[in-house]
Amino acid sequence: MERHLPVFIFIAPFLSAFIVPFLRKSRSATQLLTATALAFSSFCSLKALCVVSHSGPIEYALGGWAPPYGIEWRLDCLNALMCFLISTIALVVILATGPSVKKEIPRSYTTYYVLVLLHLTGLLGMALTHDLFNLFVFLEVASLTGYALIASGDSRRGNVASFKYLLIGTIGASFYLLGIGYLYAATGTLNMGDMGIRIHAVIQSRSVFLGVVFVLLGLLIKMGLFPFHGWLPDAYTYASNSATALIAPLMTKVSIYVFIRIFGGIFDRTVLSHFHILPVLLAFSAIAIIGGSVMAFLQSDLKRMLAYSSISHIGLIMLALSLNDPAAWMGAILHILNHAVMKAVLFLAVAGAAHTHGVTHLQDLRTIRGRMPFTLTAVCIASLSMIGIPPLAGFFSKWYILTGAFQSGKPLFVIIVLLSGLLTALYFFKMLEQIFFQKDSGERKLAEAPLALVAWPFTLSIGLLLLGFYAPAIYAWGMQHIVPVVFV
Amino acid sequence: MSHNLVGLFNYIAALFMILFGIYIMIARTNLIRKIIGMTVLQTGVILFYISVAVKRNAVIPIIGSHGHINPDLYQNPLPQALMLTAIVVGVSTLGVALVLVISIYRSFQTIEEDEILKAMPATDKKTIKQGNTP
Repeated sequence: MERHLPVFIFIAPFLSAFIVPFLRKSRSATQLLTATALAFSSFCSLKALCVVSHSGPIEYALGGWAPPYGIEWRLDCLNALMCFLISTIALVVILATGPSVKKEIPRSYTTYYVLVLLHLTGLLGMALTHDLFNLFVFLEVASLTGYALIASGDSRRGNVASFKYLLIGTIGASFYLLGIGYLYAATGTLNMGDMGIRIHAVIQSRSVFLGVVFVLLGLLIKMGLFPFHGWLPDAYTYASNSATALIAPLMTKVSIYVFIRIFGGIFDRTVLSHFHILPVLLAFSAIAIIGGSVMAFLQSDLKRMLAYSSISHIGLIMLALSLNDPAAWMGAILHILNHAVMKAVLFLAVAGAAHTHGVTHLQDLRTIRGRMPFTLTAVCIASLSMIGIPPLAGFFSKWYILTGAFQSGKPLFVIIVLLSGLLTALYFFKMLEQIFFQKDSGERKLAEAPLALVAWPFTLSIGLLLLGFYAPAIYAWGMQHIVPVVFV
Repeated sequence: MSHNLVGLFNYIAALFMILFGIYIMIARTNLIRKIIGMTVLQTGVILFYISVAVKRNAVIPIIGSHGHINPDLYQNPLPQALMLTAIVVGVSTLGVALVLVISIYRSFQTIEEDEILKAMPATDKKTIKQGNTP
C-alpha cells in the first residue's frame, strides 16, 4: 500500500479529469469531484511525507521496468512536501473560487475544471518523476493547460497574454529539451539518479556545459526569473481571477523545485560554480528583486502589482539558491512554501473583492474598507508576512536566507536580501495605506464576498500564523531530511 | 570523412533551424508566422535528437533467436521514441496556439501584432470601466 503512494497522489486528479465531462449537468458536483480528488492527493501526500521521513524514499518503477531503463518515480521528503503544497493549495483555491468561477466562466465550467485537474496532474507529475524526459512531458502538460487557463477569462487581453506566454514558454521548453539531449548524448541515461553518478566522468565535456546552460535557460524562462519574466505580468493580470489564484502560487514554484532537483540532486552543486554560472544567477536574481519591487511599486492594478511582487520574490528564492549555503537553500525551500500560501491568500482576496465590488485597482480598495473586514484582515496578514514581520511565516524564511547570506560571506547579498524586505514593505504599505488611511465614500454597510471566498483565504492566513509558529521546526526537519539529499 | 561531414551537416542544420525559428518568432509581427517559427524551432530540436541517434548500416535493436548481437551495431531506439513524444507535444502546442490565434482574431479582427497592440489601450479602458461598476 505504502509502496504505491507516488501513483495514488497522481492518479486521483488524473482520473477525475476524465470523469468530470460526464457530470456536465451539475456545477456543484463538478466542483465537489475536483475538490475530492485534490483532497485525496493531499491526504496521500501527507501520508507519504510521514512515511518517507521515517523510512526513506519510495521508489516506483512504472510498468515494472527497472530503473534506469524504465521511467522511475521517486518520493522523498522534498517531493512529498511539494506534492502536499500543490494539492493543498489547489484544494483551497478550488473550494474558494466556486462563486468566482460561476461569475467569470458561466458556460464552459466543465472545460475549466478539466483543465484545472490536468494542470495539477502536470504539476504533480513534475514533482514526482525521477526521469528527465518524463519531466519535460509533464512540464508541457502543465504549461499547455496553463495557457488555456490564462485565456479562460472574458478579457480580450487574456488571449493575447496567453499567446505571448505560449511563445515564450515553448522556447523555454524547447531549450530544456535540447539541454536534456546534450546531457543524454554525454551520459547515455535519462534517469536523474543514474545521471548523477555518470556525470562525474564527463563533467569536463563541452556537451555537458551546453546541456547545463540550455536546461537552466529553459527553467529560468518557465519560472519567470529576470530577464525572462516578460510573459508573467500580463498572464497574471489578464487571466480570470480564479485561474490566476490557481496558477500564480504554483506554476513558478514547481519550476523552482525542478531547478533544486536538477542542480542540487543530479549535479553536485560544484557544477554551477565550475561553469561560472552562479555569479550570473546572483546578478539576475538581484536585479529581479530590485526591479520587480520597483515595478510593483509603480503599478496601480492590484493583480499586476502582485505579479511584479511574484517576480521579485522568485528573485529572492533564486538568490538564496545561488548562495551555495545549506541554510540559504533550506530558507529558499521554506520561502517557496510560504510564498505559495501568501500569494494564494492575496489572489483569493483580490478575486473576492473583484467578485463582490468590482475592485481591480489600488485606489478602489478604500471603497471596501469596513465593508469587507475579514477579507481585508486576510490581506493584511498576508501582506505583513510578505514584508517579513516577525511572528508570521515570511519572517522566518527571510531570516534563514539572511543567515545563509551571512555564512556564505557575501556582504553585498546580505544587503540585497535586507533591501528586498524593505522594498516589499514599500509597495505593500502603499496598498495598506489605501485600505486604512485614505478618505473613503463613508459606506460602512457590511458586504462581504460569498462565504467560500471569504472563509478560505481567511483560513489560509491563519495558516500563515501557524506556518510561522512551526517554521523553526520545519527548518530543523528540512535540514535533517531535505538538505542532505539536494545539497550534496 | 564523408560520414563526419554528413553528421556535422545535421547539427549545423539543427542549430540553424533553432536560431531561425527564434528569429521568426521575434521579428515577425504576424501571429501565424510566429507560430511557424515556433514549429521550426521544435523541428530543429527533433532533428538534433535524431542526429544524435543516427547510425549508418545499423541493425534494429531486437535480440533474435541466434542470441547475442554486437551493441555497436544497434540503432539507438530511445531518442527516436522520445521524439515521437516530442512530436505529439509539438502538435498539441500548435493546436493550442492556433485556437488562441482564432480567438484573438475574433476579438481584434486582425492577427498583426502591432495592430493588436494599437487596439489594446482602448480595450483596457473598457475593462476598467466595467470593473468599477459593481
